[in-house]
Amino acid sequence: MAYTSSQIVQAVPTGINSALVCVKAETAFTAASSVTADSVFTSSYTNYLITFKYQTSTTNDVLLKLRASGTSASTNYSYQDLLSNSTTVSGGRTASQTSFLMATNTNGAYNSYAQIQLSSAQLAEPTLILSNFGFNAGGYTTPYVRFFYGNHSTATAYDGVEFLVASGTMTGSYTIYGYGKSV
Amino acid sequence: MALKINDNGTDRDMTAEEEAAHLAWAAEAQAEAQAQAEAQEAKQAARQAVLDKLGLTADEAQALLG
Repeated sequence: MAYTSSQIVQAVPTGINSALVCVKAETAFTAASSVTADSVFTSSYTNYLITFKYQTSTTNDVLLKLRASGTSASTNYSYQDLLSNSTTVSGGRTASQTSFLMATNTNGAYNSYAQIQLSSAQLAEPTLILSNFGFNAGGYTTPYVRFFYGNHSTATAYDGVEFLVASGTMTGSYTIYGYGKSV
Repeated sequence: MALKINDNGTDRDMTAEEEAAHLAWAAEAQAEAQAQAEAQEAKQAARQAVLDKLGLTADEAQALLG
């Protein structure tokens, strides 16, 4: 007997928890200056994964802010950066910013990809932020690799996130998952 | 032309209030990026000045440092 995928999911007994649960379905955005996702972080999960496919219209990078009840937090973001550009590796640290730099600009229609992880966003303590991404800067023959680790040091519980560019627009899609925290 | 927001999955124009807030933040963010770029340039210029004094290229200095 052949089973459909939905029948197979229904056959999983209760008590077996998924490791990675989609809490915000894949959402597309087009020529946007800002993208918001509210009511996605709950006490059900401590750690979240955001997959983010994007392109930017100009040389403005994609930044991230945490949100609570529909309002974005605009202080206290700090991060350390590691960039690989051909044979050159460089880094830097930036403190006390108005947002978190989560993905470098593509300066045109060159799809790029970031994975952002948030820890403790929904707890009343600092949120830890990791962003791993590769970007194609102005063409597909010049891929870069970049990694950010940092935090939002305000000890507030957040339920949402905003992605935004300071100038120009961005186009792409994102999905948000919660990491299961019980066996 | 109004800026666009994807509001929880829906593409729409920003309200006047949202746009004003976004533009105010954008000015700050661009100032932050500019300050960061200038700090990086100053650091590179200082490094180059030392290399010039020593008469070394960046690759030669890297080879020396292992």
